[in-house]
Amino acid sequence: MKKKLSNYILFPLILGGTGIICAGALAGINYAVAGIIEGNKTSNITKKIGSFFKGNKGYEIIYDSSDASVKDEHPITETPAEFDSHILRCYRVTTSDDKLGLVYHAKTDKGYSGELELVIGIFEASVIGVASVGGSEDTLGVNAMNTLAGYLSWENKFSSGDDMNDFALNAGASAKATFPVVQSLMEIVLADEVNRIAIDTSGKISAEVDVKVLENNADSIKFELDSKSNTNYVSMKSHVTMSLNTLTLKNANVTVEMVEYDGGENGGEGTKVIEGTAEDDFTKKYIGKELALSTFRRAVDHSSVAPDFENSVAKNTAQGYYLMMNGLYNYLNTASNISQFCYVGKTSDTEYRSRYVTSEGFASIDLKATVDQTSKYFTKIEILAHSGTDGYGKDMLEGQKPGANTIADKVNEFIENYIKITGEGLPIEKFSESRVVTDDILHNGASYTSFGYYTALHQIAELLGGNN
Amino acid sequence: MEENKVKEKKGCKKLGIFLTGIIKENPVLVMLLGLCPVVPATTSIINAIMMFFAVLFVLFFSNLIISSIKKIVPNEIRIPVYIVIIATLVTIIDLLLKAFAPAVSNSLGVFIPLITVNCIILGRAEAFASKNSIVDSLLDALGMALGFGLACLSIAIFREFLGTGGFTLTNPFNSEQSISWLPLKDFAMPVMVQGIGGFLSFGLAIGVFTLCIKSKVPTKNSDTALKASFNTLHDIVECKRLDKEVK
Repeated sequence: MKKKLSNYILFPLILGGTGIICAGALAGINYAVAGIIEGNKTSNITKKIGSFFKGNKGYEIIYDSSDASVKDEHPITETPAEFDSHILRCYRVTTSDDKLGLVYHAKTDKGYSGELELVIGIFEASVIGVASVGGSEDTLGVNAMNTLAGYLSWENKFSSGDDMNDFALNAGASAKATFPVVQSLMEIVLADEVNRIAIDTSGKISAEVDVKVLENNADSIKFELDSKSNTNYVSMKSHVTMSLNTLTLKNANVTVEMVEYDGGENGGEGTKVIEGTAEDDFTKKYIGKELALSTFRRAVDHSSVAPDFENSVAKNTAQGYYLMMNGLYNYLNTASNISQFCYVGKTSDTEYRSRYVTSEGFASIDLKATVDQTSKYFTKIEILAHSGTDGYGKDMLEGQKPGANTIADKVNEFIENYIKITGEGLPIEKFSESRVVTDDILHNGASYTSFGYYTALHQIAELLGGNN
Repeated sequence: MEENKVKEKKGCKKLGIFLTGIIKENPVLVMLLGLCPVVPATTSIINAIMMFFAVLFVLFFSNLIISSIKKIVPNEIRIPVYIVIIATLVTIIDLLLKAFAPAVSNSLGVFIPLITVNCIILGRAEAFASKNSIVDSLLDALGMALGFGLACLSIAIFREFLGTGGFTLTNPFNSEQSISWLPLKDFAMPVMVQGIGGFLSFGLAIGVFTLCIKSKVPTKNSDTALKASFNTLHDIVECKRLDKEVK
């Protein structure tokens, strides 16, 4: 009589055998279809690019989070770390009329029940189309997303600050969870778009503007702009005061004080434009008030701004003024030496103010630190303003472990070593070294905020070192 | 003559197994099993059809495999083994849909992987395939899947028509090819293709189906599904006659 196998052997044998056979079958199927699935996704994105920008003259991939060899030939800024977990790819599209558009392949945070992979088309700082191409979101969330996608178009654009609920009136419970994460992603790609497409590469009309920093105070920077003349526009010189309440150089509010200009165009109408007394749309829109510098981000021949000059009473003067400000925008957008816009100063015997500010705002921070110079410790650090985002840098600066896609151990390490003040305080020596954003101690998923914070305190450490 | 009658009786039995899943033990409208995908998969006809094929694929092959290995698998570990097999089949259909019908896969989303825990699949594996022959198990799978599919399809027709004002049929293998017929587009009730419309339609479908069945199937003496199914299709008389003759 055959001896029956013990259950201790038989059960694992059968379970293991079943597992191995099933795993083999899955591996085979996966091997067979993996290429097709990836191809589907790529072809889907290509189709979406075609549907967003009908008749486009081609596109190039300028960013790929999974392929470091993909480089933008016209780099402006790197994608901030906080965006890394969202933006997967970015394509620059040349439209049928030689303008530039962008298409993002990006991923939302968790919505109704999972994440959504979206393709988002952007033109002139507005979302002109969106489509879902994957993700782990439930059907209800995907359907909510598809409902929204049906509303967005060239005629019905989404711009930064718009409310998603305006686009979908019949939003169910799933949509109420899905729309906010989609809206948040759109805000992210719109913010990123500024970095990637702000400079018009056509080069048809360009201003040569000399920029000097005249004053750098705790709350503002004063620039001197000298715009050179050519046949297209009037030359001029001005002093521009930038208020740094937003900690974003490109989006900061500016006020303009004209120093030199030739207002003789069209029988003195140029002077009226510059002084803000002319009645044309250009004067009303751009002159004599505090404006965000990003108002001047577009190239002068861009369809959204060109009519302002065409209809002005002094076209060349208006164009000259706009180009001067556009020159400052481009200068700040591409500035390699950011330290000239930073600030550090002593506000009392023991208190120091330090500001680190960047073009696009990421890593920007403004803080006050109380210093015990005898024992060389920071005894108190007060963050006055920062650009850290919820779930990332903001949480970290508040001493909480960020909930989003950060490297948990490293964020905790940074909080413990560089943010929390216990006992005597934080040794100033810890901030003595100059660092870059990719340094190991800063690279934690909220890297840019960590970098800004560290650098602001490093500036104080350097000032103290100099004083000594 | 006797042999023919036995064969005919067997044929009736097979037909009964097949029809049980469609009417008497319809998984969705009578047994209320596998409801999870019913609401999201019935927003459109094409989604309902593709969900039907997905369930059919998994149910067919899980019943086939489980029925084939029922004598090898010890009773104590049968459920984990069934789950592994079902999960594998679901992953296969999920991958195949992603590769060859990406639009449908995107639209059905997580409800494809969720077929793994669909009570119809495990229920039929445990209650039927593990106790019956391969042929019977396959007939059961076909009947149950068809019952599920027809229920989904009828709800989807109702929901899509009211929700969008007509019908849109999209080629599942090429989402760019689609035909729309939307005569009542301006009177569409979008709520019908949302969750609340799904539950409303589902409740209505159960009510209508129960009314129809009650009027045709006697509640007493319907101790076997076979009997009820035959009754519905007016085949039972013939089967009874054959039964008596065989006895």
